Amino acid sequence: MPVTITQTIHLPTAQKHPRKTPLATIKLKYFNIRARAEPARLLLACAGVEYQDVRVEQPWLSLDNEQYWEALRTSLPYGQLPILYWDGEEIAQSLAVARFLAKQFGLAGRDTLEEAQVDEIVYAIEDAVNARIDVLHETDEKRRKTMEDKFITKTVPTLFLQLEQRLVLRGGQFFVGNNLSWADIQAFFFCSELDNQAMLDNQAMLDKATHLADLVRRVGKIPNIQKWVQSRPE
Amino acid sequence: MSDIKLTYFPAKGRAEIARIILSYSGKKFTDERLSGEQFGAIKSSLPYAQVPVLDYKGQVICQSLSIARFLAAESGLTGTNNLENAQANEIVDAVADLQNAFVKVFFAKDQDGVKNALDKTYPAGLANLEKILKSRGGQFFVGNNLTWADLVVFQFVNDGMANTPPKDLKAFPKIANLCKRVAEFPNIKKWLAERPVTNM
Repeated sequence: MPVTITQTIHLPTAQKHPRKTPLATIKLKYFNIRARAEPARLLLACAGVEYQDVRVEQPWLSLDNEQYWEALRTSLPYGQLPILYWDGEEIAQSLAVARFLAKQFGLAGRDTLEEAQVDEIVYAIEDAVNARIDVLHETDEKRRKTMEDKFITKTVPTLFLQLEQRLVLRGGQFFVGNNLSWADIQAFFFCSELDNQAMLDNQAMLDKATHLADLVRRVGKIPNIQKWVQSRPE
Repeated sequence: MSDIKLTYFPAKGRAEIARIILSYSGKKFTDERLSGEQFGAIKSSLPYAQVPVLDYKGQVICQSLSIARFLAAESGLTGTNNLENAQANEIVDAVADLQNAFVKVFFAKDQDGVKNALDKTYPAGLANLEKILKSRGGQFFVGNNLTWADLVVFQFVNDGMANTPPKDLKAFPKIANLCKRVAEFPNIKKWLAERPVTNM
């Protein structure tokens, strides 16, 4: 049976949402990996809301999985995952999903300018995320090595310094509005993924981006985020 | 010279929460500390003959909690709607009750009163706050993000009044965790390391 359903971590009690339905039924469906669903999962964890964390076994792991996936994708709006179901409403596209959740949880900025500032950080990081995924998908060994080197020696260090400058410009504590937002969580996501893949000497690079390193550390210590990172599936 | 000036005695007392909010916000301010003599000289010119007084770009605001609330609002730390504003005010008022109870017996030199405040009143008050923090998800007191309510609780736990903070937080792990995280904010960390050491 290719589909794994995880009844999610019931992180410390329901978050009251003054604006939206407090007890929305939430279901997030993705493969059994972090990748493009993890920002949404981090946001959901931070908010402490209950949701169904549905994980479809990776189609590339077995023929059974692949067949299941090919059948499933015909029912998806863009033939892709992740997809979010919020009180039955379907939302696709990983950044749209994450932004929607960030807005629901008050983490998307408090006015139009702050929303744009959050998005700016997210898109800057997304460029690097996509570069990383391109490396993973490259089949030509030689080209892959070149792309990987570029990612490690140029893309990531450059991004770190750019994010550091932005962060310092905003006061050095958070990317937007001097308080926690999705931008900070996205930075945490990106940096902790680099750590996980042990692909880079993350620390050496972060040494130059001191405020960014401190922010990433602090976001990791937020109780629900810490708990989610410790207990999420491998 | 900054266009924000906070005037008080050389003490933490009733001005420290404003200093912490200003520090967190990153806004430059003049931290004016008056000797008894200097205070005496200007006392009659002050709106309520008291300090702290905030001079904010030419506007004068008094009353320590009003000063703090205003600075918090100017820094986006009062919650995102009226309900959250009220939830934050509630926490602040609860902490003020605890502090006022202590201040009363401390300045009356009532040793039994002080003991009672530390052994009974503070733990009971913290138990209430711990429960509320837990009910809000355990990360922040209001709206699952930082507000001045968290800074007020932090200042109470870290400093107390007259350098007498609550004895220990073993029974209040979520408050302890919150305060640890507040102390880690770069601007707060910096202020705590750089602020004058005072005996009150």
